[in-house]
Amino acid sequence: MTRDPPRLSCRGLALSVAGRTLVRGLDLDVRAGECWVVIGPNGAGKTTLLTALAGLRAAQAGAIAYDGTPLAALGLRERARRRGFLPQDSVDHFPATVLETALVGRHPHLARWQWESATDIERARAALSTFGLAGLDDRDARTLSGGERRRLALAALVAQDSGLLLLDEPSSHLDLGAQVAALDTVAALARDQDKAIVMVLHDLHLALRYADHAIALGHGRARTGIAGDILTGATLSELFGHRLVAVGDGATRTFLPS
Amino acid sequence: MPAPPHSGSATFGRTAAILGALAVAALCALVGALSVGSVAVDGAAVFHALAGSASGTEAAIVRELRLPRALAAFAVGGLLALAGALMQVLLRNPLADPYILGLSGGAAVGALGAMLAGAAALVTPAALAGAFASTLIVFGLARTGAERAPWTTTRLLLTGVIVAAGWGALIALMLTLAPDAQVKGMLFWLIGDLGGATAPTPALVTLAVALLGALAFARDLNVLARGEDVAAALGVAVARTTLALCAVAALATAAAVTTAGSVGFVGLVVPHGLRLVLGNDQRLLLPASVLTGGTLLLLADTLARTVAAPIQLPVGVITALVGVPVLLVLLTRGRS
Repeated sequence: MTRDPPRLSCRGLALSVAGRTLVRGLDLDVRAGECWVVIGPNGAGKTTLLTALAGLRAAQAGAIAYDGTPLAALGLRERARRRGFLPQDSVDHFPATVLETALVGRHPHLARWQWESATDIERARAALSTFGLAGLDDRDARTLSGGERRRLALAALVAQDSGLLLLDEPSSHLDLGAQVAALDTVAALARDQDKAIVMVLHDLHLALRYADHAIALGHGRARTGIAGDILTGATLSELFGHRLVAVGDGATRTFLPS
Repeated sequence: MPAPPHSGSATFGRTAAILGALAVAALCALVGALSVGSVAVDGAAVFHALAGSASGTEAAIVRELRLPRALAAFAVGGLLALAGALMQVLLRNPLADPYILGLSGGAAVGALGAMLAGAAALVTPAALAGAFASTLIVFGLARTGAERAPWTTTRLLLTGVIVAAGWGALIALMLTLAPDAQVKGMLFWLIGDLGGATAPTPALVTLAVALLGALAFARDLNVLARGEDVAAALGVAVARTTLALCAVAALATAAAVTTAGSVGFVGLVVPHGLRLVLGNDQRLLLPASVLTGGTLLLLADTLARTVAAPIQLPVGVITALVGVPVLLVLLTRGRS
């Protein structure tokens, strides 16, 4: 049986910022249905890694491919149809309705002079209701709360309908209940729709709960593997420079600063 | 059950309806402008004059005096509103205007220089050369070291403001050195005046080309309005699109400024006000800005040449007198 090529793969990826090496020789295969988490201390390069994997920032060395096709061989629009990217923060400079904001995700699927079809609007509405924003179509997005805006950004990403999703802190600005609800939805995208997901999370417990694989980034190197193997007391203590004690096991494992 | 109407967003049908209404308003303003003046011409006579089925003084006034000036007014208003709408999205600053990159200053230095040299025939070419020199200086300086897209707009903005300050000093110097007899003409040029606009064709052609070029990127602009990182992730070539559309805006502004001098406020107020009413979908906002800006400047110019007749006011005075209170209202509304 032949296996589909990974949604995202990189070989020998090296990244540095202002002369400081963040990671070197990173090999990665992210397959359909997998949910990866990137963890690490502040300044470790989590966002830099994610933007590089999105093809939005040049790497110092290495090759990135989507679905087995090198990034260099894919046009900007074709890349946007294969991978969605959620930036850490977004600012609304101009008024736009909730529906218009979600429809932005359909941009890479439309030709230059083409208008959004009823199908595009359907998809955007479905994405909005997935994130609990149904019925808010005509609201000015700037009047939404921080948490609602974050869910709106996620809905626009789902409307983009790419096989690979790169999320930079998808749960930021969300309260505890909303974090769990949003990450439940994200995890369901991997489980039910076979999306491949790489997300940066700060909360180690949420990371353990939702990710099946992990990238631990820090001190100029990256460790990759099964989430349960990476998210251990010993690894995290070294990573964050503070002793953490793991209590319990499995998805309910907790880490306590000693 | 049919899908509920999609009222806040610009569907194709809603866009066409709004643009149709604005086009009708523009035509009414045109007929009004052609009939009002020292010799009143009624609507029927205007149509006969335009259709070529009438001759005589009235028809000549309509065809040879009022029509070129009215078309020039419409084109200049449309060009400035289009350039303003583009600059506001590209710089993601709702208060940007067509002159933000220092273009009007360069054009003014060229035009005033030609007036000082006594070369009246060279005023328009010199203004055009000044506008393009300013654009080249700003783009050239802003490009150096601009490896990453997020730097481009900030650097463009800063470079434009600095270059504009330099032009301002040169303009002040020329006004100081100019003989008294020339100062009035120079001031009219600086305020914006359509009294000398006899050949509207270049401005109209530029308007059509610039609008078509901008509309081709209208959905990219919608995405760019969400921020550069979002746009890049959605497949927009951010740096290239920004520079290309800045160039379109510069071309539009140069065509407007060489036709009528630096008319203020149209390029700032029209797109900003329309955005509050129509939303920010550029596929609607850009053509609506052209039609509204053109109509408003046409009305303002009709007022400028009739309100204090036989004295003709520079149209820039009218746009500023109307524009300042409108802008203040928009600003206080925006803050609430």
